[in-house]
Amino acid sequence: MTGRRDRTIKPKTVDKAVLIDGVATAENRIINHFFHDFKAKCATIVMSLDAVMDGCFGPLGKNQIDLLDVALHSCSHMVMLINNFRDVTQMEEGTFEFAPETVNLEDSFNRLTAEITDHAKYQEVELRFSAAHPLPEVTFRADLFHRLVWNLCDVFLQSTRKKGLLQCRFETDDQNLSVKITTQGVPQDERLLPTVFDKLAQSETGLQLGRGFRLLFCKRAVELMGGRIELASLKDGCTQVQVWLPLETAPRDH
Amino acid sequence: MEKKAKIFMVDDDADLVMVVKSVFEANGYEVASAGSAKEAIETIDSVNPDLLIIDVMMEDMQAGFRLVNHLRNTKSHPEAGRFAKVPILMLTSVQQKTKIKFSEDVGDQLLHVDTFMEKPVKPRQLLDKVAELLKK
Repeated sequence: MTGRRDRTIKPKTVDKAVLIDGVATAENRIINHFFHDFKAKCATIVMSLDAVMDGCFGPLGKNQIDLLDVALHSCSHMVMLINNFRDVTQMEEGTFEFAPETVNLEDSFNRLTAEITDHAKYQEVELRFSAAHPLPEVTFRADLFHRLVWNLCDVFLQSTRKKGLLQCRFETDDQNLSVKITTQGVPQDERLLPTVFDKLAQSETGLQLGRGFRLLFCKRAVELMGGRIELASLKDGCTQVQVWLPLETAPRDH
Repeated sequence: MEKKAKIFMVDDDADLVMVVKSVFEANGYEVASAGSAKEAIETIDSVNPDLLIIDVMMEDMQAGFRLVNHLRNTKSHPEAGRFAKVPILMLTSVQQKTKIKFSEDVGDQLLHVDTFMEKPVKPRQLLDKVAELLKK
């Protein structure tokens, strides 16, 4: 009994979408691990500086404190950038955990005002925080909301000209919380504004609002909270970003 | 003479261990350390700590939780029973609190960790939290 054996090697069929998804997930995991390790080192620097500045090992002179403060400031910023990148990858992967909690917006507003004022102390910018008081209690993921506003203020702080004004206002109506940030900076080319939220297509303007992952992180955070974000270049040379977040935030399926 | 409280820090980052050790020793504590969950399990009897500071991710992503399970899950690990009530502070680079579903025995129950703190943590805050946990 003879017969020709079929020697054709049939390639195994792999679902392309599954393959791409698997590679993306693996890449994100690698990135997550990398940034975890990176962040661990930054955390060590920050804690060392903090310990010395805080007098854990004895009193310091003013010059020493000032210099350590600058170093601490830089390192804290690095940690913030790492957290943003990590969270963007998790949000896009669908593994970012969303656990809403009750947030006292008045406390949140006061805390943000204090932190951003401290953060801006090395820049000659006038800060003006205002809110339509009293602000209600809302249901958000508190740390995500805090970082969202903090990042927006920081991005715009970098874009505010010296001795310029940065304004941040909280307002609520029946349905939404609005956070509006306006900066006196260089006007943005409106044609390029839509790209500031893109991961890879960064704005080519001089101020490069979209540089880094900060605005991308903010957009993803807003979307996760069911809200929307808009950025506009105003006629008087100011740039403005506004965020609307629904007051009853349920986690989106992601 | 007041007995110094003994902290057992379990973290694979030797630099961070050095920082925390320096801070705590400058504030009157005794500090021992282990670089992995495995090492911690092997040496905890001889260390005999009053409190543990445990990193979440060490030799693998679940190492910290595995150590917590070893200490808290007295059904599976009776040999660690005497440390079941020792306060545990977990240091994490992972922002979200994670439900620890670690073994069949534990099921959906949260393994009891007294507190999570995200790195970087202010040394003063760490000192205050440890003092608070030791008082309980």
